Amino acid sequence: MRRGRRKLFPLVRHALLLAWTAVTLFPIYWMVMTSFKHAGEWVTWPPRWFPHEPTLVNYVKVLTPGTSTFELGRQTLKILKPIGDSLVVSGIGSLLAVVLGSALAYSWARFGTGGRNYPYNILSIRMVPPIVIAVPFVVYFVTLRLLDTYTGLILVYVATCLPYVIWMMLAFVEEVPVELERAARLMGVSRLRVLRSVVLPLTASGLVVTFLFVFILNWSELLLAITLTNTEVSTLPITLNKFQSANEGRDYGPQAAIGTLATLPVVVMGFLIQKHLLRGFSFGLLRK
Amino acid sequence: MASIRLERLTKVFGATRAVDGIDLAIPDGEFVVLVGPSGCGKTTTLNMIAGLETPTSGDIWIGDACVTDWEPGERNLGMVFQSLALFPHMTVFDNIAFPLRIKRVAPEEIASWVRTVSDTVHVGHLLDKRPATLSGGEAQRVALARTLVVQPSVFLMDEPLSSLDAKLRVEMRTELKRLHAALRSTFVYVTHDQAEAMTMADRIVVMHQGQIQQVGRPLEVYGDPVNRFVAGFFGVPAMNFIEGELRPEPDGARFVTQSLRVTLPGRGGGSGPAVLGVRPEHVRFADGRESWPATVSLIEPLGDETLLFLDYGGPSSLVAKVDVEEKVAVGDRRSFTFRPDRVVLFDGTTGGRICR
Repeated sequence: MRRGRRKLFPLVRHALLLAWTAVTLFPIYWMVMTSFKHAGEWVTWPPRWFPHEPTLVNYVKVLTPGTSTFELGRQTLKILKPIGDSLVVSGIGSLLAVVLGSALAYSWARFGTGGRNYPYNILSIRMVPPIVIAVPFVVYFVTLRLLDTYTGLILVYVATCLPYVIWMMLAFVEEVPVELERAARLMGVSRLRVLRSVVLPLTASGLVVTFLFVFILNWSELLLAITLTNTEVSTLPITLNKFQSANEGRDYGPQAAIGTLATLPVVVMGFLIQKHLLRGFSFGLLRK
Repeated sequence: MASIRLERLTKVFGATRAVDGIDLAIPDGEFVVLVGPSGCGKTTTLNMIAGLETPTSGDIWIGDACVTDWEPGERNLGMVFQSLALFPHMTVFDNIAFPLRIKRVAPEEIASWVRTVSDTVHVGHLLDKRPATLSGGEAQRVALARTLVVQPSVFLMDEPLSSLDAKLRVEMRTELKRLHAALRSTFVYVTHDQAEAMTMADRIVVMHQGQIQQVGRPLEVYGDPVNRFVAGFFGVPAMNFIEGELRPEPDGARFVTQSLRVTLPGRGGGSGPAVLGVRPEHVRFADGRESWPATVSLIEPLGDETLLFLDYGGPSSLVAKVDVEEKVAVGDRRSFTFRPDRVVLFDGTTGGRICR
């Protein structure tokens, strides 16, 4: 009886985990499949699990610069520009947030900058639903002439990401024993050099993981982007959103193609920093 | 080479006075151990000497210079931390070489220095390893090597042996003492372990609640404690304390409890509530005028000696350390006495030593 249960349990557990993996991955699978289907196969019954005649037409349409007309609606498609814009805004925004946030996390962890409740105060910014700050931002940005500019959107992304960066980096900085820094200081190492030779190498994984985390947030952010930009700056989520409107119908194929393209940079990045991910996401529970 | 002098050194954290106006002079080349229970201020004192904590008031002198406002790196100190503080992202070689690289020593010289020092502490075969793969003892030696390599004039050690197992700790104790004998540098060593203090120190500084209780050679501190705290801190098992009353006698004093009457010839000047302290090794079986009956309630053989718990009618048992040859069984009725010259007396309220 005992032995039977011992054999059965891992089986059940793996079956459940497999089922859950299937549930979470299915939408992604469906998106990728749809991006290779002709218009006729997008919504058929019974559903087609694989495209019967795989095609790249959706990608061609989406990636061709300039104006093009579709069977299902008319869209001005400049997907290359939104990809570029998204990269610029999310990339610079996340980078700035990580630089500023980790500096703040370090100074709070080591010197108590800002007082005991400072990180909580900053976290409370995150408790506010974005919709609440979106409209006031429009008013500010009109005055500051930041509406529909890269600078404007980057600033907003830095501000909204800082709480995440600070809280994640706090965990990573606190994991570096103070004694390491003290030992270095006793050897005559300057504070800046301590940061470079001791703190930076030991928090590298944390920095990379934090960057990826906020990059994904910014990469897929829609509400603030759509409120604060118009024609000059247009990120991927905005472009994606344009394929669903009452006037122009539903372009599932190109939409799926954009979705697939939008997922790629994040996946590639994930592969590049794989070795940091395990260490970073385990928050030091696993030691190298 | 350098002496150290602390003048009215004070550190206040919020409402607590972690270190409360201590004065201490450590001559060049001495092995000094700061010892006390956790929270007594010993580590804070060490950190202030190192420059890692800024004193609230008071001064620190190293050699002829007042270093109170100096950066830690300017004081020419070597420190071994409780956690050893080896850099996990560097190999053993890089760890030991790191302080030399900071001082911009030429690479060839670094290599030869690292080799010399790592051979001294027997870690020459570990140079390519990472700290995480070292055993406790190996990591300990690497930390020592990293401190030795810059030839500091003062070594500061903050409970460096506490992470080792008991056997290794005793070995390292001997090795540190040898190292000190070879280097003749000033060592300031912090520990809460009275055995470490007793075995290694030239002089022991006993601290309690931010203040220095007593400074002295190990046997002075052990045999001639200035107060009840110091007396109770040293010795395993701890000194027996018996509360009672002191009455003056023509030729000395008499210590009285419900079940004991101890005459102390030649010790005058005391009366009132007092505490008698006697170490377990100074309690012995004897019949005679000045002896009291007791029942053996528990026996703890240590191998080389035996501990006996004697119920004599007082509020707690008396611990006696006797020879293993002593024939004794639980339940035996025996008479015991104290070595009168080794009995110490403390004031019942202040705990200070009286009637020396």
